[in-house]
Amino acid sequence: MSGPARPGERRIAVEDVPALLAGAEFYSTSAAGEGIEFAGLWLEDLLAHTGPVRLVAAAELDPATPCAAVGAMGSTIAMAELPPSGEEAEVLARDLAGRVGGPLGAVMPLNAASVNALLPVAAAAVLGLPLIDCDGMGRVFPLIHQTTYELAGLPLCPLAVVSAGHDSVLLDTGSVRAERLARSMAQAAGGWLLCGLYPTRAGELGDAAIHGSMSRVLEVGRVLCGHAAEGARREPSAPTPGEGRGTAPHERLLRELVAATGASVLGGGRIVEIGPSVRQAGTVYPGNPLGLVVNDHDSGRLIRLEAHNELVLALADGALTAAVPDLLCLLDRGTMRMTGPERLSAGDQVDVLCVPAAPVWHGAAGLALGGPGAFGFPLRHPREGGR
Amino acid sequence: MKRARHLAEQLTVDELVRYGPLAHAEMLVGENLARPVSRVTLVSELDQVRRCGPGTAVVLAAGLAHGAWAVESALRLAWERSAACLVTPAVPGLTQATAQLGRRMRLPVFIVADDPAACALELAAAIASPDAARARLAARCAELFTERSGVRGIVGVINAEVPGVTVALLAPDGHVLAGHALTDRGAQQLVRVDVAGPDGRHWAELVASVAGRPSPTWAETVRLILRLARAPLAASVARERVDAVRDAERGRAALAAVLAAAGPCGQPGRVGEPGDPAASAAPGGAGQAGGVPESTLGWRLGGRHVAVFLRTDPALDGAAAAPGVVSAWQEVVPDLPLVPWEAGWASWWTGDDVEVGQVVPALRRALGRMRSPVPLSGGVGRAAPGPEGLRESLSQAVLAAGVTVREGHGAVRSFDELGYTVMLASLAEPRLVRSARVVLADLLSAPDGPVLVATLAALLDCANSTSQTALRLGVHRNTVLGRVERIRARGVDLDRPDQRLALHLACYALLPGLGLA
Amino acid sequence: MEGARIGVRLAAGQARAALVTGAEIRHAACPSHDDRALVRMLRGLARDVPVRSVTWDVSDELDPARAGAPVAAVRVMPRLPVRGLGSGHPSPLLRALLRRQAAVIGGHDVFGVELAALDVRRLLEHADAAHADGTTALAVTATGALGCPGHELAAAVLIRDAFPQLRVSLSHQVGGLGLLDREAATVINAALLGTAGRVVERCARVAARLGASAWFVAGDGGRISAERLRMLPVLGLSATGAAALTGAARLAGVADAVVGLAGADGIAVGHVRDGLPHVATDLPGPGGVRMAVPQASLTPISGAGQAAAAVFALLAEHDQHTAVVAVAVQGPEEPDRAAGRGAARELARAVAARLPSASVLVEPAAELAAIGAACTEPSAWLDTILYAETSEVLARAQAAVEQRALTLVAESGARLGSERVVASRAVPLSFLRSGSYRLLVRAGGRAEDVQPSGEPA
Repeated sequence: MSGPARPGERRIAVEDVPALLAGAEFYSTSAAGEGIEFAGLWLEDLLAHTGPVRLVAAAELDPATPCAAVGAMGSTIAMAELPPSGEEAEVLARDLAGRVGGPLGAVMPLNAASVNALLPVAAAAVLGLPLIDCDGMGRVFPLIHQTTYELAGLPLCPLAVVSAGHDSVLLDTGSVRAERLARSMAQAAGGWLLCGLYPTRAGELGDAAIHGSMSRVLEVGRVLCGHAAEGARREPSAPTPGEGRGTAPHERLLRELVAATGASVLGGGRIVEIGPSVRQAGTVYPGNPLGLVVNDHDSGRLIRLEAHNELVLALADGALTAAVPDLLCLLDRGTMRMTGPERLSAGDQVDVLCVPAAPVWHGAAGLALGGPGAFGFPLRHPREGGR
Repeated sequence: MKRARHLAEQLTVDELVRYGPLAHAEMLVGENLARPVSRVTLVSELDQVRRCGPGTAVVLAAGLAHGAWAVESALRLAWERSAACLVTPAVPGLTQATAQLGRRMRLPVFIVADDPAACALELAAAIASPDAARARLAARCAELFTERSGVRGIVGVINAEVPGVTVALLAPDGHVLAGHALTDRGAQQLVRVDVAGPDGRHWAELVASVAGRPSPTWAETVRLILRLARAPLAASVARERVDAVRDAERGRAALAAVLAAAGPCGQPGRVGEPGDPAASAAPGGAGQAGGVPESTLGWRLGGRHVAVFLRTDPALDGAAAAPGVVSAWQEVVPDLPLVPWEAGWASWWTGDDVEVGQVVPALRRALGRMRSPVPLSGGVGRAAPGPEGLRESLSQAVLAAGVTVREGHGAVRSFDELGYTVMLASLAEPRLVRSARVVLADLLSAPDGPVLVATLAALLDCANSTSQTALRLGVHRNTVLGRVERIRARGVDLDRPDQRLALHLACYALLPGLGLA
Repeated sequence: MEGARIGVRLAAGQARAALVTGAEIRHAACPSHDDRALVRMLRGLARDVPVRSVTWDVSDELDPARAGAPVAAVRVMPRLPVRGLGSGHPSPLLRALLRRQAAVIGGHDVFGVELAALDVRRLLEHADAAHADGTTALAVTATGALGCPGHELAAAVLIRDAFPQLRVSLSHQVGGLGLLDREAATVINAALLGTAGRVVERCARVAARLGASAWFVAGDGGRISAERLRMLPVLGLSATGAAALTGAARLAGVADAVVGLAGADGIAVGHVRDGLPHVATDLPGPGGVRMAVPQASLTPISGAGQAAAAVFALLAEHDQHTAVVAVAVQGPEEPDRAAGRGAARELARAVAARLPSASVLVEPAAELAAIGAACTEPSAWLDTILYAETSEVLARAQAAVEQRALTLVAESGARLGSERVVASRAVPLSFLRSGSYRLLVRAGGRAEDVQPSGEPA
């Protein structure tokens, strides 16, 4: 697409992909971010062919510009085994164009995290459209309708999906049913689907989107990549698996992550327990639950994390201190990379971060859709004011 | 206030564990069990825990068992509400981290295998009528009393079975006959019950100290249990006294026989063993004593011995105290015999490498710990092999004890340490005493006569060195010098060598009768 | 009769050999280019002891960058990439190896369901084109081949019938999940086929002169047959670290350990479980290319002396297993390595001084990797996806996969009955229906040629 960048124009190019990948891992709430490196290779090759993608704020666009969210649902491992051919976005755009009365003028991410931070970039590149710097989750949620778009009342459907085997479907139904039907199709059609959904106009995104999401992912990614590069250069004077003295490298990284994301550090220390948790009867969520306990090095508190695809809850000494929709993530002190329960074992040292969700998620409707209750945990979110 | 009275009579968590519905639950956290339980709440939603009052036993319904996180949340909320304990169904993932949290919050946590609702019902029943639960406890104690034979066993039943209660059996003089000495911590509630001896007269007192807040009904339960213990105690005391007297007599006869046999041709080895020539061939049936073979007394007569001899103040009735002394000894040194012998009690350490140097401190420790009804001091003989050696060692110990008995309770000296002075100690023979009183009449007539005699004895012991004498007597040297002046003023000439021996003997003859500690 | 095992590491023009018996370790070295010198050296090493096996670490000989054999890659997927998007690999190594790249329709999903029928006509067209421009090796990578290798196997049969001169590598035999990484591994494997054939043939010949069988160390620390290495040379890459880990643990006399390999300029840390090095599949391979092939994971701690020692001591302190520190530089016969060896030994001792008393310091008399090579045992590694509604079904399916791994071990020359499952892990897949699992199984065994009494302690 497009020739040289105009002054002030923001672009995502091949050289931004490593940062994008690292940021995507950070916002994927640990479990979902595993094994997405393939998507980086894939996107780099794709951008090398198409040229960079223009990143625009929703307000920069003509309010009448037709746009739709793009994102994948299903398993990232399945996608690693069967990467998109690149043509999927064209199928989605064609199917949706027939329904929104004209070709799409821009693409926005369904959620700027995990592979879904990269796939909309690829979609925009293939379609030659600008990418809107926003998203609908600010993290990973397991269900495609757990979005701020939904909270703002945008209809999810028509939902266009295309599978790994290039089966395509255009669904017209309510959000919850659309999620259910598409989910069972994902399982049957090879493990993942690329979705085009929430077709709308750029002017409608004002309150409906979390703005600046892509920029934030890139910024966090640059912090992480900077540390990785520095670590490689620095003849590692020992990744002081941090028992205090001086400023351990992980502490500096934490400080910068906190500055970039507004996160708080719930604690850090050794993992004392990790294992399967109780299967929630009757839950709609796929995947198997896990629990892990971190013994906070400084306070001696026990931080229990419950994971179900992603990290859902954090209890410090039994008191709920953080929960979905806020983002919980784990930094591995050994590797200085974001990590997840499936990569960890007892004895590893991690830091637990909590990134507050966008304010809209903390309203009553937001918590109902993406709070602990939505994940089958009969708990009030810490922000709801307990007593 | 009515409510306050009610609170005071609540069962504690410990009681619920010991004889209540929690007896079969797995105790994940066993902290702070003395908390009284005021009520039971079965919660099916975490929020319900927030409404629990202090002292509640919080029972999590099976439906709430979402996982360890839910139990830990409930634990936290229960702790915030000052709950008494938390009961949870078994949940996968409920492990050390949860236990650790419970311990840090000092909140007892129990895991029940069955339906927690059933457990909640039982808890509610127990808490509603503590009396029924306590009656069951009393019945159980009564049953256990009959299975124990000794005084200590019976007192031990109460200490082991009745939660929060420490009980002791006290002699009229306050001496602890059995059980735990009561530490005086003001806040405790004491329950006292008289115990009659076998003769029906007042013999001792059972005193229970009840931990926690005073509770009239609980005190009643404790009193009931103490009363239940009285009859078995009396029976047991009678049995023990008879046993003690009989054992003492058997021991004395056996030791006499052994020592007689060991006389000139004593044989080493363990007397009384089958095939041991000493058992059958010793003259005068030495292997037998009063029809009792030593083997049944469990004595080891072979090997090296160091004998000890215990004495009490001659002014006290040693014979009456004998059972008390023997039982106190056995409490502290259960593996060695204590046999009534002459004016005291004999025992001996045996072993191939036993040394006087070990026995003296061991005996000193033992005397320090013994709860003897009379003051005791001990002499220690030399180490020597076989029954003959035992006889010699015992003789030496008896002599040494003659010295220690003047030094008061707890004193222990070895024969070797005392040297020839042990002989002086056996001089309290009536004729000699009478002569001494005549010879030293002037000195004795002084207002501090006995002190001067003791000082004179010490001075002679120390070869007229006043500084050593001061050290020995524990007084300043100037004091000794002053006394020496007064002694000289009474006509005692310390510098005549031909008088020294007689003077020394006279002092020693008088010392036991001077009544000086 | 008791037999000894010999391990040989071929690197930098030198052959360093170690003979391991129950009682002793002997070592020798010679230039590696001369067969007769090699045989002479190995015979001298054996002296009076019969040699049962010679196990070679040939990873230095298998350099894909020097292989010089261009490869044609064929990817089998249900949809052809639009304008070739997303099919390139950024690695210069792969770009250099690939003469041509193509895709044909076909493939399965991760659960083994066919997504599209294999386009046989296009496949043969690509093979023909490759053959025509002088390419000798073909890498076939079908999506979902781990769940169902049908399309790859069919492609292999068709191509061999039509172009018997083309050597074909199939991805499902080479690597694990992840199409791009597995394809990279398959391409590198295909490029190495020629070199591997020559190396294997030579090693087998030398071993035969001693009356012993020839085996090879794999990058995961297992032992593979000459036949398997000839077909799957990619498995023989990065074997030196794995062999050194195995050797260090064996010399320390422990089956489970955290091992520090002290070199001249730092320590590499690895783990040994049940005698086998801990492996990972996401480590960078040759040219930094990730290959979805299990490799012994070695984490470098750079920096000399006390700093590196302190870090390793900290790691060891938090590891439940015995800590082993080994001097991993050998070769006193070469003056230029003596200095490095001295530094490594100093570092190893500095580390050992900080470790608890139960730790072991290994200062081998011979090349550690050669000792490790002699001690390697057959192993197998499987990575697959399955769906199980209930835990019973999962257990059954897991048992079946374990059985497959055990069979592979037996095929690698394990003594019957010695095969065992070392690790078996079912990881639930995120965002798929509950019951979708990725299964990782590792199995090991004892080589047939070892008499139980002849095993080193």
